Amino acid sequence: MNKLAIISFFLRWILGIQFIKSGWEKGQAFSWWRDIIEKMDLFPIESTGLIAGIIPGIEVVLGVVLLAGVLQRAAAVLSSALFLGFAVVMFCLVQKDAPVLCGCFGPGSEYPVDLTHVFIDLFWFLVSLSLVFLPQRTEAGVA
Amino acid sequence: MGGALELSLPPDSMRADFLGALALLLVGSLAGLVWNPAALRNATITMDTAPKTADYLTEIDREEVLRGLHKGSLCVVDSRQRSFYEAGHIPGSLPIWDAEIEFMIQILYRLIPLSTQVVVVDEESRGFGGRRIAGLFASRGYKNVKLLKGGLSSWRAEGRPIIQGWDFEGIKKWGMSK
Repeated sequence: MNKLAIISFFLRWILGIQFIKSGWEKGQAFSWWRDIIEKMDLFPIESTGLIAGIIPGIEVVLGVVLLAGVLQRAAAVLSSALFLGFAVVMFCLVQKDAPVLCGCFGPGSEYPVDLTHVFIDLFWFLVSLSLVFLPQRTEAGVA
Repeated sequence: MGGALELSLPPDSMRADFLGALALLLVGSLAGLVWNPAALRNATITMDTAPKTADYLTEIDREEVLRGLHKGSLCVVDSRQRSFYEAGHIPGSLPIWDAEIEFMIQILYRLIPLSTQVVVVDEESRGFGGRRIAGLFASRGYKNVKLLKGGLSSWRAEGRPIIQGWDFEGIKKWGMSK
């Protein structure tokens, strides 16, 4: 097992656990999460329910796939797109100076959106992007 | 094999990876909708879905409201019809009329933090309109919604401040003029 395979394994697990926790908390507190999306005032009011509904599902599925180590590159592409989208949303909220909570990890993590969130999302975007190029489980033969 | 070689992405797999990402997106979206079917319904709480009245809500003393208004620590919402509001209302109170109730609640919801104390004013202590609007606020997640004790009639009878016409003080305070 080479170094890159070990890095790939850890990044996969960190991202996977993070996605499952984040998606699970949001999905369990759907009304709360939908309210957060509504208060962002970035999307048409009719679409906020749909957005709030699908994001937790995507996160949980993505998390499971990353942990399982199947479709790693596909999952990494989707994860990158997701984090880039989150960063853009956070940046728009910071620009608007909107008094909104981030809602990243459900009702237990109610932090007002600030520039730190943009950088955190960009960091995870880069981590996800690196997984596209790192060895997959099947290539490296790791769990 | 060297690390540099392993870092390169096989060009043939790029299309498959994007298709795979799309498939994961679809599966995840479907899973999310199955998990929370309410996502397909209208996200906005409407007059049909909100509680019609909020009988469980408590009342707040007029003196306390006056102090809160001076300190700027609470938001007073006038639930009466437009003509009544224009005829005389508590300085700094925000108007919410029946005709635009859902629209105005949506606007206020974006401007007033959920932690803010909201005092709903009606002509009488526990008027239907006041209880209904208080119920809408409470169902929207406002934790501290109260009704004005005695309503505006008692406020007026005690000679407390009332102003007529339009009042831009409250509207500006909560950012509605932006």
